[in-house]
Amino acid sequence: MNNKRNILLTLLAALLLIVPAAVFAQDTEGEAEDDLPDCPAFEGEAAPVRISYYMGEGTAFQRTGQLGSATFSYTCIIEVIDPSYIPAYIGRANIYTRNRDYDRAIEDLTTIIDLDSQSVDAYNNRGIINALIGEGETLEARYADAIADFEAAIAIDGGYVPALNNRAIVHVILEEYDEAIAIFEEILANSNVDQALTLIRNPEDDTELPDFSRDEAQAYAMLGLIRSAQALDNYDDYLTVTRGAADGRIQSAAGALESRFTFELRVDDGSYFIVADFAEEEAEVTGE
Amino acid sequence: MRTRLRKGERFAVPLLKWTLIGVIAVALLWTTTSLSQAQLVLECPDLISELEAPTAQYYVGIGNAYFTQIDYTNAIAAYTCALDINANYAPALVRRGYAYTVQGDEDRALADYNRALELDPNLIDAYNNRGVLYMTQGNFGLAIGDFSVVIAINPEDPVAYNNRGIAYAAEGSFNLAIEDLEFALELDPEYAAPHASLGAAYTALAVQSYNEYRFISGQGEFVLPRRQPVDIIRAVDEDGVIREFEVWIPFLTPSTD
Repeated sequence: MNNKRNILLTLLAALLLIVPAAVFAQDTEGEAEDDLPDCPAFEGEAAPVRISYYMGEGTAFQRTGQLGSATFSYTCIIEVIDPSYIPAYIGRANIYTRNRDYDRAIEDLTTIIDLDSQSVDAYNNRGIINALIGEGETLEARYADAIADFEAAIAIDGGYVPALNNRAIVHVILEEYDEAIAIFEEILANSNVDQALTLIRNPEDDTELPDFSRDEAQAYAMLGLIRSAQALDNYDDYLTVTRGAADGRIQSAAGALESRFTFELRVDDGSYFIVADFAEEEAEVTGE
Repeated sequence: MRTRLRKGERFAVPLLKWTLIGVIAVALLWTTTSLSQAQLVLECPDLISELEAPTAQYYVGIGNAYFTQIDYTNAIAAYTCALDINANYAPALVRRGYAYTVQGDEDRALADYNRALELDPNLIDAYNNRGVLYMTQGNFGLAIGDFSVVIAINPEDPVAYNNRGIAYAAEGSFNLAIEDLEFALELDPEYAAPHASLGAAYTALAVQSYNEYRFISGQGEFVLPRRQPVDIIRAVDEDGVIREFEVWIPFLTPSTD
């Protein structure tokens, strides 16, 4: 009796182990290249209904940090429902980028560009990834793909601030300061930032502050950064030519500035690039 | 001028002080926790994405994502957003009803299922989940009725056969249960639940036979515990209650997709 019971219990234990494994296998099956993912929600209903459902599901999973599940939701749309639905690629590319899965992110952004050749946001974000992963013996070679993407976005929309900012940052990395300054001054000239600055500096003027975006205002910060880089170059020249007999105050200032360029003012780590959020309207900053 | 404290007072004053500090700390903690819990409940604008115009289906997707993460409160909030867009959207009512069921709010769950069935008398998910709710209430007859309606609408729905089989098992009709469960497997051999349900039903049948033997031979009655088939198997030799219908609830398959 005991032997029989032991056999039975062993079989049941095996069953309990197999059942979750089988369920898990179902979940991951969809990711195999040859199999379509299992996306049963609202099966048999019209594509817009199913797309809307999976976009909602993906959005909620993404916001709660369930990135694998969110990717699966977007993949349901892309592979099962409508391979031309751009927002699903955007959602999935954002997750791949966040996970530093850059190859897949570039693949999705490239598909967006194939589907919509005027997507400045896709060019811009692909440019950022290319800037982060670019390889080559020279800086120019390393940033060639990024430059091509930023310039493609600018060619489509000459006033598109994220790509202008990012192209200028690559100029800074390549120490092409004059070109970078020209772009940042162009961003400021085409915005209301200067007008807002004048009004803010004059509290007695009751004129309502004009709208401007945080991205546009960043141009001032970048101009400051470039001038700091130029200052550091001048300090370095001074320290080189004085060969150890330099003024200690300048030595100290140069050291502090050099440290800033290793941390806060570092431009080649991607932290000053402006990432497009694919939203129709940019967040506006007002003086209120 | 300092007042000299007696020995008892020297202990009593710090004790009172620390008790007060403790009470204040607990009150602050409680307030903070309550506030953070209150902030956790999302509202419709919080759920909007710049990538997609919100529709009833969009909010159902949001709700299902929260539901799978066991965040029933926000799942209900999202389903309610779907119903704000379209008050007659039956799939959102069914899903919200199931979230209420899981939360133990049976009245609201039943109201949602009934409303969904008013809007769409052929909505299989609503019958199925209402049947599950009836089962949790011990209303086997009503549950069997709802699962039977599903079978009438779709005679090839393995979930309905599984669930009706469980309902039959819960009321002690093991042969009817086994018939339904075997048919569920015939319809979909890959459907896992009926395999476990069938094992449990056969085990219960075995216990019933053992009980008859023990009754005839003058020994006491077997009893079965709740939960998994393995517990039922163990109970063949140990103790449990075959008549406690809750033992069958985990074998039901609700509609959640």
